[in-house]
Amino acid sequence: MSKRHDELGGRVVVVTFAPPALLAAFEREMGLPFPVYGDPDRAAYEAFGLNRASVARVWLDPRVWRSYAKLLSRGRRMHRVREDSLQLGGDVVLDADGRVRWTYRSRGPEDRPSVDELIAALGLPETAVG
Amino acid sequence: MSFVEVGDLAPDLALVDSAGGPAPLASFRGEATALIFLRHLG
Repeated sequence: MSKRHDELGGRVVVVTFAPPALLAAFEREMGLPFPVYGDPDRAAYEAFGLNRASVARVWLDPRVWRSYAKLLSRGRRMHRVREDSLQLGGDVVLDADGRVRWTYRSRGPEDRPSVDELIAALGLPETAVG
Repeated sequence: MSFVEVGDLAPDLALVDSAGGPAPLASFRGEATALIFLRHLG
């Protein structure tokens, strides 16, 4: 996603429920072109319907292990999870008026929309329209 | 339990920015915004 920043027709923000004290270090370490915000009490996660999964779905499902194997084969380093490992993520696009335009609620750790889907939901940059 | 759905206004709540300040979802108005909710920082 960060490599395709120029294709975006809007703003992207990253949200985590990790303690806010970790946000600045995470931003520096990852070198993301997007700001990172905290939601420590998970109010936004809850409001947008981003649930917690079962232990079996997170730790015993072959789909999860396949996705981790794929990431490792690409050289991605894994870190010990310090947060609630059962919390699922998701993606929400708000329009300029603050209305929800699109949502994707992950059903498992490996279940995320493609970058193309997210870019399409966000829309094209003004310069690319017409 | 009811969730915010497509077409609804974003809920009136605030995130926290990396300086520890409040970042209301309403402050994102004016430009389409994708919120990517992570599972963890690892």
